[in-house]
Amino acid sequence: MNTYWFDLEVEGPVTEDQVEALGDILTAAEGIDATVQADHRGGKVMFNREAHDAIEAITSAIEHVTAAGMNVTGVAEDLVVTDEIAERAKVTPAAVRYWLAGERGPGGFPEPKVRRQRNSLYSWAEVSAWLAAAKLGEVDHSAAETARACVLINAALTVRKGMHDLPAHDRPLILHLVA
Amino acid sequence: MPAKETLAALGELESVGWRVRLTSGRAHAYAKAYCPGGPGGCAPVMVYGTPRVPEAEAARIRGALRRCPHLGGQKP
Repeated sequence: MNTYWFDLEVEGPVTEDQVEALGDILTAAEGIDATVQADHRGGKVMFNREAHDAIEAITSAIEHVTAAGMNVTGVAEDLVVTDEIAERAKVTPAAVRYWLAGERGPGGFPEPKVRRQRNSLYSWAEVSAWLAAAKLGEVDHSAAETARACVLINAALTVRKGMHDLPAHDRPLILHLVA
Repeated sequence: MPAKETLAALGELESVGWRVRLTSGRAHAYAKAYCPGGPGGCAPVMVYGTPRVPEAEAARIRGALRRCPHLGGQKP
């Protein structure tokens, strides 16, 4: 079993009753392995789930969150800030800043997925692959697998949502395409 | 009472301006944490009191803290 870190994006409103219901559902399953960050605007449910593979981890999480009454709109891989990169790579935050600036390491550090004045967010899968290529660490295979699973499951969620809006006679055509 | 790891993570939130409100009458939810960004800030973090792995819950709470662009009450 591996541990997979990912966020499920949920539509608003998310109520305290739904959060409590999720607590019930997770407790009855393998135990509470999620934290909700959401309100009337929606938000996310952060998971670190043990499973045989990333697809199993994410689809079972979607099932649990949906059963609690929340509507899952997407899944995001583990995004990290520079301090987390330093922690995971077991280096100082200053070392990461040098890598970012290209002043140390081979250059070409991955671009942030979410750019901010401070605390920009990076794909841990991309960063761990860069660390491995630069011989500064090992690839986090779970992170790379999670990133690939997120792409596939997001596509499936898009198809599922789109199917609702399609005329009934067009739905089999889409089902045939993805089968 | 939640594990010491969860309480420590909540303490870190409070130390940088997050407001932590304990919930009552709930079987699982222990607290709700609000970022310093106010009504337009990050969505609140709902903290369960009985996580499967307290260290992992603490890491998720710290993740929300690190991703918050409103630390110190400033907008991004």
